[in-house]
Amino acid sequence: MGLRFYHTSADIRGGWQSDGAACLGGMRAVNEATGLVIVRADSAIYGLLIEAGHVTTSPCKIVVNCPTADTVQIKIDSDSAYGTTVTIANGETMIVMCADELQWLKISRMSANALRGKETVRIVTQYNAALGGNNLVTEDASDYTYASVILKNEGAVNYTDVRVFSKSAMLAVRQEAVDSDGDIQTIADEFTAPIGIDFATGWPTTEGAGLTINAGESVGMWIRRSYDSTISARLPLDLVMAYTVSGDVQKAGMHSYVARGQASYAEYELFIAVDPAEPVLTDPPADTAATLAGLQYNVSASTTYNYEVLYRNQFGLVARHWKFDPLIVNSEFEIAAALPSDPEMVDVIQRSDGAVIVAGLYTGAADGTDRADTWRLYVTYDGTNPDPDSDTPIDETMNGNGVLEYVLTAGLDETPVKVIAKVYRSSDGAENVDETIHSTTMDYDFPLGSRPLVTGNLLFAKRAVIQDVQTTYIDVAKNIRWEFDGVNWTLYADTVALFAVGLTAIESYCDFAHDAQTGAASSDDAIEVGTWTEIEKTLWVNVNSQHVMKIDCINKEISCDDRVFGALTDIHDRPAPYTAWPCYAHTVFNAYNPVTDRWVSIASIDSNGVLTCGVDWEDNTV
Amino acid sequence: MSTTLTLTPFPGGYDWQGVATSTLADPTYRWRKNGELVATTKCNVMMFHLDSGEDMEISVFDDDTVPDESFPSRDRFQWLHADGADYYEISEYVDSAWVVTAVIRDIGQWIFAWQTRVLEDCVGHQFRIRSMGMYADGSYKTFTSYMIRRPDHPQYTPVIDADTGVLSFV
Repeated sequence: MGLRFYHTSADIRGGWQSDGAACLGGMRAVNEATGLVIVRADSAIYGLLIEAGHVTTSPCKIVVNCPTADTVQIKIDSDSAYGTTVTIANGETMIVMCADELQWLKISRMSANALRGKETVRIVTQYNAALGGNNLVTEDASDYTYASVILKNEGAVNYTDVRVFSKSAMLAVRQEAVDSDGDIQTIADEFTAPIGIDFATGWPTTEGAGLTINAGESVGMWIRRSYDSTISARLPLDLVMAYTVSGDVQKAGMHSYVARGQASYAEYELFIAVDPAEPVLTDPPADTAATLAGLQYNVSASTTYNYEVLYRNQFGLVARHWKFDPLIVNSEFEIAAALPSDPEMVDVIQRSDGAVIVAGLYTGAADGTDRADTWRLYVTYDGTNPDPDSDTPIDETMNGNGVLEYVLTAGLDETPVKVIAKVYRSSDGAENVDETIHSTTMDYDFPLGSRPLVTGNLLFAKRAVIQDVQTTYIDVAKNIRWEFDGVNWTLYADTVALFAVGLTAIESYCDFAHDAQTGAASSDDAIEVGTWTEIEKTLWVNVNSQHVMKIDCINKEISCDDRVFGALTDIHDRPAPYTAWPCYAHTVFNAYNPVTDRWVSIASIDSNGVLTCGVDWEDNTV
Repeated sequence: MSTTLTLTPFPGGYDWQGVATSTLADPTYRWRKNGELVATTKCNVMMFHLDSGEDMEISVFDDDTVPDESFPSRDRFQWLHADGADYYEISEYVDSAWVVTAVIRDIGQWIFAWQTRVLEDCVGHQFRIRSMGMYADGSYKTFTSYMIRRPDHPQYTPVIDADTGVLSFV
């Protein structure tokens, strides 16, 4: 379009004056009164200058693409199709349109280098264009402010019937003829009305009564803006210009925004509600005041509130809502500290040795200086639910990072454990609210396929130092037992010692017979009680639930396939101690060394019945 | 075709978690920060970080809806290459003096851009960009900006008059 809006108040004719809010008449500037700001990425296409544009929504992204060395096309970012591809030579200025031709960019090519690449241009509506002037902060809704632009016909043809419409109640326009130098009158400031400009009459808008602006000619346009009573950070200001060129009636528009503020509009706003309700921010505040100290609200004793104070600035923009803080008013009208916030990620974790770890995290960030300082655990081991009102808690002083990792000592296998983990503030005895019960059972992590030597007795399953003499019965009738004397485990059948597992070897009180054993075990136990009568007393040592060694307790004879001495190599790192347990294809006999606190594998018997003594291995996990 | 967004501040208010929901069965979320598309995700949770005093307008849609207007806390300037400039010195007018806040080197770009710090609300700010270098003429352009944005969240401590039961703030 040949008709362009230029800023005024340039120091020299056609000089630089980019401040749209300072157009007080006088000489025309080179700067156009565009209503949009174009923001280009740092990776702008080299050689392209994007001067102006129009979009139907703002903000908006436009993709600029150069498919060939001399062409450019654009599209709205969310559109799939580009508009018409335009060929642009070095030095040319083109209007490049999207598929929707109402949305376009004015692009100049500033380089002969081949165009290439793609960039995204962001278009946002500009404040303080010539239409908007300075943002308004005043108590007076009756005054006016003034600004001016100069329309110049930069084309080669004449424009007739040029009319300007104001689409905003705040705006009025009126033309002023330029003098012989192309200037218009100058006003002292934006509050000074230009002389002889009758805004009441306005720009001629009657059909056929518009102005004629011939090629190269200019006309001044004064804009009078009234104070809208509406408080807003973004009031739209629109002018529409209609004209006839080459017989065609055309329209163009100028679009801008202005912020309308009022100093007295700035205020602090109190939103408050009685707990558990929360204030509704869209409702009127409970109190407002120009200063924070001016806010007042009558509270009731022994009542808890939720509240937040927000600030609204003179343009009506409100601080962002963060959160509602609790306000606990006690019977003495004192503000009590809020209860500590709940801990997070509380869990009870089984440890392989039967212990239970209670873990949790207390950040307490919302508690400010009223942080909890102690973990408080309510624990039961009998399946009942812990009761913070009656149970005695375990108190654990909180470390600096608020992490809890408390170990509940191991008990019997399958013992039910229930825990409520709370945080406690020692200064006033307050605990957090949450009383979620976390449950687990104590569990011993037996090796795969292994069983304790004595079912139902966990002494051998414990990874603990045995310091006292122990006696462990294998059978219900208590005829068969292991006895530990501080050095050796000895297997007794009634009063008869069959063999002892010592630190260095098996000390046998029986004869050995090379006689392979067969048959399935009656259980998964490593030591199985077979026939047990007055005349026949048999124990089986099992491997993989198969009989591989028989102990004749009457005749004190141990029968198995073979007997060799040597070292095993396939005993793996297994929790100890067990005096005997199946390990893959072996049942291993261990002995405890109280000097080193270690368990030593003395002998093993494999699935073929091969008994191996002097096993060079000791458990390192104790 | 409609979404909800819940923004939750982390302690300190610098980090926010946004959780979106949609009425669509298999929505794709478009997260916009101050109107600018920052992510397109299937996940309905997004984390945002703010610098001190910075505000943001977060909107999330399950279609191409244009976001609400926003009031960014920073201004962004653009200028064209100046002949002979090796670098550009950006100054802010603080306490009646120009204080250099940034230096942008000219390595042949055609257009330059720079974003200001978070600017105080309802206050005018002035910035100056000056071309510098052996063959630069030292000319400068001055930008004046009146920042209008969401005000900062007020800091306050509640107090109660035990005699009257009146709550006030300091």
